[in-house]
Amino acid sequence: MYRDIIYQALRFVFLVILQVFVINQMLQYNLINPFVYPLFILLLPVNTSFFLVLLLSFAVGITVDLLQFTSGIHASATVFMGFIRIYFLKASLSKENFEKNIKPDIRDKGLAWFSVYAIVLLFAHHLVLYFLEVNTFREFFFTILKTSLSALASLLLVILIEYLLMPTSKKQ
Amino acid sequence: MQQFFYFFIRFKIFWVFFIFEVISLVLVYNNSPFHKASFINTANSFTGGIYNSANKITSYFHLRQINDSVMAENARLYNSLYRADSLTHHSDTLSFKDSTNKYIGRYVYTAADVISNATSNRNNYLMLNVGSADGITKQSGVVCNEGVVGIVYDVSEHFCTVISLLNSNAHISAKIDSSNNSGTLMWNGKSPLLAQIDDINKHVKVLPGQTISTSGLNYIFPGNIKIGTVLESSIDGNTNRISIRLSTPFETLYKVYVVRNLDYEEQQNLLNSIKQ
Repeated sequence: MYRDIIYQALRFVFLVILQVFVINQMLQYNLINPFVYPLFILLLPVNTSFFLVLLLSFAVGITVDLLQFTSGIHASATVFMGFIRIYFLKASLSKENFEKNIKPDIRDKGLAWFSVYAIVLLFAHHLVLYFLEVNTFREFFFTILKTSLSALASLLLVILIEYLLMPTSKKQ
Repeated sequence: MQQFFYFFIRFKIFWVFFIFEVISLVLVYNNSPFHKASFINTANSFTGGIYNSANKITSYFHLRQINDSVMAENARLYNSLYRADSLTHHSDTLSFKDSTNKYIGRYVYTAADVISNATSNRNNYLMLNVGSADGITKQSGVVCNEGVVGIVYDVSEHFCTVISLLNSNAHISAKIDSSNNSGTLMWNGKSPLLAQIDDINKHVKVLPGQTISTSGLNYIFPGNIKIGTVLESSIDGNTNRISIRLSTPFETLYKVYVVRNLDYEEQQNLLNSIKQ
């Protein structure tokens, strides 16, 4: 139990540092702008209570906001993503999955399921994020293009990080 | 009452989501200066330390680049110094004192390190490692050796946040060097290399390659600081639509200068008295 909490906390810190100090420093191009910190919310165990999911979404979002001086847009986007996650999991997982309290990751559910899960949630996140950022519908198609390309880039990075961080000791 | 609770509990997920979303959106859309300032200030004290220690490590990687840029700037300054010297001391007949532009001395430069920078958002901010303890005030300009960087937005004791030129809220008064026509420089969010001027009258001929610099008209920047060169221009309605290649390398910005106009308050007070 405690081990799990520490593990999640480390993941939180790792992903935020990776996002702000590595990925954001390497970005040179405005059209593709991947975000990996949503992976923290993606990988929470399926039995995490809805309140905790939304609270943690808000927490990770506002942390990134504080680090990038963007007042509230990451928090809004991540809370929206957490909300979608609750219904996505309800619709796509069986009762057994919930009883076993699996993690919605590649190891437990396979690459195909995870990709669909991740792209839906990342797209929702990026959509809210970019529309709040430009704060207008005038650049509609550019924003949609940016959202789609960035969501794909985020998906690739997220899958890569998942493979790199997959705990080998727990493999059965 | 029971019905009401039943209603609330039935959609409890939605309500919790709703509350968190409203809190975040209030942060986004609260435009009152107090809230914006307090958010940035919290961000300042929370992140200033983190970015500063990160900068201590990463600054070593750019030393060569910074050295080159400092040497180039030094050479340029030596050149202008030599020219001024030769005019005042080595010529018996010609000595001059620049009395037409007395504003030169009214700007104070402070060197600063960029400790956080972004170019990939629609609204980008920078953080510098100088603050009110170093005499920095709000609405100071920020420049680097290559050109204009942005405007100081908020100041804490040891740090300040800067609205980058790459921000929809940055409006900088710029002029075309050859004709002195001035307009407002803005950024459309597409590329960190390009900025736009949309309000120069169509009768002004704008050609690719012309240089653009600060006009000195907005009391923040001194005049004639380089901004960039015209990439292309087209006429749209009554105005020119000019695309400018920025000379400032925003992606590799490490050392900058904060330019403080000592007369800023006085000038603003005068302007405000006109408006009233």
